Amino acid sequence: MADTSTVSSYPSTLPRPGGEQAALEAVWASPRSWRIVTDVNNTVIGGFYVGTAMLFFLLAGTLALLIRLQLAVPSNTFLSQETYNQIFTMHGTVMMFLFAVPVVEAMGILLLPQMLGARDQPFPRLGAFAFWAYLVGGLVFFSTLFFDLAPSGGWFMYPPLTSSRFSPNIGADFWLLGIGFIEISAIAGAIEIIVGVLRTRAPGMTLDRMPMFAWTMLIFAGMIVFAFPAIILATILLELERAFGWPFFIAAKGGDALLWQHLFWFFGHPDVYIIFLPAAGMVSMIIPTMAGTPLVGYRLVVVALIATGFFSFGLWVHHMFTTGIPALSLSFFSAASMAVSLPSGIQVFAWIATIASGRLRWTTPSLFILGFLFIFTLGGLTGVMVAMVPFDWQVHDTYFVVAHFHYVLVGGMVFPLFAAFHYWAPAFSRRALSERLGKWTFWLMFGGFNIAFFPMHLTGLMGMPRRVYTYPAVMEWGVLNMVSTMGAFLFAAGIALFLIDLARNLRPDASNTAGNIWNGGTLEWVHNRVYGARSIPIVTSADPLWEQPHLARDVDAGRYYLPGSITGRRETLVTSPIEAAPQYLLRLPGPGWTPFLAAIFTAAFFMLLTVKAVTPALISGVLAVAMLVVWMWDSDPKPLEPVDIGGGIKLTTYASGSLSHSWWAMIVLLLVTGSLYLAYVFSYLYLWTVSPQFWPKPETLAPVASAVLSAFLLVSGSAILVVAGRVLPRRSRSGHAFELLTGLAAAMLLAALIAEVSAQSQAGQRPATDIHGALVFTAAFLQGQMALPILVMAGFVIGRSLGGRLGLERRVIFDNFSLLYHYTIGQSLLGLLLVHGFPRLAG
Amino acid sequence: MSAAFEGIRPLGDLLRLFIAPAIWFAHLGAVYAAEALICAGPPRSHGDTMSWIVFLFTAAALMCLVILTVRTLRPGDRVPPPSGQTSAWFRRITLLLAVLSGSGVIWTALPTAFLPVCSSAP
Amino acid sequence: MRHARSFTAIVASSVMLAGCGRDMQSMLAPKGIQAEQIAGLAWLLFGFGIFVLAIVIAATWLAIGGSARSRRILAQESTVFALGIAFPVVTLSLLLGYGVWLTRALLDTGRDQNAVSIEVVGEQWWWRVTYLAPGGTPVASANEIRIPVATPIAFKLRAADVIHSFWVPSLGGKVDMIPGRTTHLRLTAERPGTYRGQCAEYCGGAHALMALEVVAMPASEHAAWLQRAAMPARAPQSDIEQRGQDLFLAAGCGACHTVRGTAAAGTLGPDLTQMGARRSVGVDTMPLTRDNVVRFITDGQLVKPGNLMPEFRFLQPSELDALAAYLLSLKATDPDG
Repeated sequence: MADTSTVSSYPSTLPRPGGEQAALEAVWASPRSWRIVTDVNNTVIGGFYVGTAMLFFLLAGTLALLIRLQLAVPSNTFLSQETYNQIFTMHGTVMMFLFAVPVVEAMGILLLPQMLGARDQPFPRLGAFAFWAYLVGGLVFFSTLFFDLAPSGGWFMYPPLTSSRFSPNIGADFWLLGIGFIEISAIAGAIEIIVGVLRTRAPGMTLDRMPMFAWTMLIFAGMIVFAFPAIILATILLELERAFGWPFFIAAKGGDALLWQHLFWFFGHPDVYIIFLPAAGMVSMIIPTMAGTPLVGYRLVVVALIATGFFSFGLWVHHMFTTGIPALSLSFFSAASMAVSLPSGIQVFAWIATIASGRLRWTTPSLFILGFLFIFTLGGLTGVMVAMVPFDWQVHDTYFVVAHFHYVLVGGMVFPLFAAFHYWAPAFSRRALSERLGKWTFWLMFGGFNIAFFPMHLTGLMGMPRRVYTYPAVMEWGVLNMVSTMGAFLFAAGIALFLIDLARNLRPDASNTAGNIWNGGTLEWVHNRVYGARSIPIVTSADPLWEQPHLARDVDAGRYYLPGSITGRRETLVTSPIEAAPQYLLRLPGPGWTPFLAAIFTAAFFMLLTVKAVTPALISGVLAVAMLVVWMWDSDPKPLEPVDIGGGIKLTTYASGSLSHSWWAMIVLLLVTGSLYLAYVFSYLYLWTVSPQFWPKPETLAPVASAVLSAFLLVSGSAILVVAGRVLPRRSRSGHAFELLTGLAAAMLLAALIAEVSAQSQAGQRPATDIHGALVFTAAFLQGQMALPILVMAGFVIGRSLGGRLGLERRVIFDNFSLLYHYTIGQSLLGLLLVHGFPRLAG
Repeated sequence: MSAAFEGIRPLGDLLRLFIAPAIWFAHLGAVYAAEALICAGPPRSHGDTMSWIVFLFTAAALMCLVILTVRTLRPGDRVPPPSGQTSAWFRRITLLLAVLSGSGVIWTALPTAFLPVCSSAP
Repeated sequence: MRHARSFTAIVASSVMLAGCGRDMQSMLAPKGIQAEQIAGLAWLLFGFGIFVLAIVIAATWLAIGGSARSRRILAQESTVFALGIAFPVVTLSLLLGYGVWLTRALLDTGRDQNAVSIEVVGEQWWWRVTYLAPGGTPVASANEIRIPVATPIAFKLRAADVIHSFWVPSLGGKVDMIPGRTTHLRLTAERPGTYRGQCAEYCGGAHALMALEVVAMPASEHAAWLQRAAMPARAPQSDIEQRGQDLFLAAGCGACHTVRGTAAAGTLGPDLTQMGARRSVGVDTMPLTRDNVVRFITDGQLVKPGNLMPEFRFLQPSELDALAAYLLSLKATDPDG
């Protein structure tokens, strides 16, 4: 790469042809007024996304103030017991699911393309869909509070409290369907981010030069892929139990309440780091700018991020230290909790080293970062404390833990986020935020936070449990609680001041921004518009604006790659995952109604299902699928002749196989479904260890022959689809062998599913009778969950083939369908092996 | 200019980073599953069984980490010459992760020396 | 350094709090062997936390405004390695080792053949207590647990409906009560006294009000008390008590409550055979007085929202008087025994 460090000749020559920039602007122009909802560009959607997440922050924060008012004095009657229980449940749920994860995801959608030198995210419509689904779903979910329909089982929703017996109201269903659905939108965002970070970086931005925020978002998205499926499975199981009586968590029928805790915390603990890592990434971006020096220990920080990504998956049992699990098991997880504090230590001292190697400017972002360092370190230290098993036996589920995780989450994520708002505002707004107001905001928030939460360590040590709506005066927790309440209002005052600052100074603008007022070194600080930079630069260092003089000017003049739109559409460069070498030109879709409508109908499907309006729900579901089909119809545009992006580099406009960015997205999606299925396999085996007496004797099981039949159907289906791939027509239409084979393959999958379900029914298995039956039919349910989209996709593939939009060259849709299909066959075979084989092995 | 972008390496280098922490996770999962299975079975004295299992798993995990370290330090002839500094960078990170994961594996195994099997909270 | 000072000040004030008399539910004022061991660990951890926090604050301070030399040292990658990896590996190894050792010690503490066995079942939102004397008949009670001092107590913990968690901070850590499982907890009180406990796992509705009291008494007194408690309820001694008993049976209280020796044998609610000897009414929501007993009978949903007992509003004041008198009379003959 040495030859690119001194750019002697630029990829594009000056002067640029007149009208080139105007054409680029026209292609990327956002729809006007209310039609803005049809826009899919990451800057617009990202802005909405951050704004919506902040709305939920304010709403959930208001709930927190109500909680603090109720607890300010002993035996308070400000809120009733039931209202309080709904409010604390919603506070936790909204903060975790509707604020914390979405807001960092939103920051990624907003910032990453600019930072990486891309024009947009690789799947703009998927991003728009994820956002609208989240907005609508989130608002409906929150509004349940106003109808006394909100869940009251805690954000952790432990059964059996949340089972239909102890929570007959539909509040719990709103939680399960609403949150499950919003998780799916989070996964969509994660797929977008992974593919975006790995495949749309500016040429030359090798992984070791990538901005640290992009690294954290990559790990963040990877963690979502493996963590969220666990809770999606858990919500599926609990909803199946509530709706149809499948007894996953009912001890009398062989279920186990602890299964939920395993699944929930397998998601829940990584989730803390899912929230923290992007914030740490923001810190790693802001400190170097404010200290005016590159990040010290870039390598070590990457090591820390990867280690955190893995180690955080080995901690889930530390939320279950008091459940009576053998002490040795607890100690394994205690050790893992120690291990995960190492990466945080590395990052903290890398940041301090960066401050030491430069000169820290006293700006608002700097203050928030220093506040973060103090609060987060304290939260980390109490984290080490609660990781000690005996200590946790005392403080578990007390206010000590409440203090601990607010130090970690507010300190570790909200303070960096506010630093980020102040820091990046000038990249998107005509005016920067006020430094004077910002400093006031900081001191109010910092003071308020510590006054509110530090005393909670003490109330916890003095014996106050969590989730209590009141406490008697004799306990003498009153003074500390009053102090906490005052601190909470001080903190809220800081937030209010921030809102005033926003109202006075935030003026989002697509083309005319305040710009690089901090002298930042990364690409988001070149002149960015909705389409990112005017031309896509060659990057030769981690801080290109510092190391490559005139880069900002040259980029803006259009001297680098892709200074205009070549094909007359929105475009971005796809580059190789490690070296970021240009690979092909990706044509991106523009505004359209389908993502918006698909999101609305999907949200309607879930919400109507919750209130048991089955017919309208099904109609919405069909409409949502229809919107998706319309949306996908004009995806995968047909290959054009290779184009010149500048510098003599000729790129194709089409890629299939592992070169294609959509292949990568499909692989990530398969990792998601694979994780979901593994969570099911874990549940099956786990429940067997708890109640093996419910597993039938081998002779009463469904006959082996039925399993062999299903397996045969599945394998033939796979073979048929392989043949279909072989006969994929070149161009001219002759016969319909391809369509027939594809349809046949889909039918085989369906037949195998039907064969399995009927064999199990004939063997006397019933899902609601006992845990074994429930698990057997869950396997079938998960199969059906895959078969349904496969049927739709098969129809889509056939339709495209008939419509002349699928052929030997233009084959990405078929390739992705094949990936999903063969994966599903594999999953089905594993399911057959488990359901038919395991009882025979164990019996 | 285009010559600079020709050395496209597969994803192997990136995935290689994940091997060491994945070994750590596999080790944790294996010893936890072993204890869960032993304690789900009929009650008898398990002390020795568990100690041996943990010892074997730990030895295997550390062995894997050592192999990874050695292979990272000496990439051998099969690997084409690294393109610039990126490869060295990946190697350093792989090694550091191996060190961290090794500490984690040892920490996980440590409690087995002190605690009885299947005995729950006081 | 200002932060470090305020931190120490607050921790110091917590020491003073721990020294005061209102510490019936504080882990900083341990009154049992297990709680003392954990409190020792807690102070060690607080010390460790202050130490590390001080290092981080000092390093940040020096990084911002320290001498050129100290900043040069801090800015090196090797310093990051030393402070961020080497130092934690050493200190955390020590901590982990100590934690595991202490866990082992706690597992062994009170593992005694002669331990007194008590079963506690968590129900929404009260505690069903059964004293399981070896050989003797089980003695049922509720919401108040009397234990002998300096004797290991083996609690068998179960849940009747949802998950609860049994926790008496003065005596030791908590253990969850999980439907379908039996969990165990061993505690040993070292001094006589009354220790408050509370459900620590959110169990819906009135979770906040699900408290209990552990009364630790000298072993000989405890034996005598248990003997009396095993006897049938004290018979009514006066007209008003008799009227109360008649009402109790006529109003159907016996469908849910047991008063041993009478026709009342319901098991849905707490056993009331010793109700007059308890210290509180409504699961520690109110002190045991005549007025509070009446209040619970007529306005139980106000006192403890969501509890299963219907509100007996149709009873006349005189009837309530009689009922309260009867209930308060339900205690073993020697009230201080």
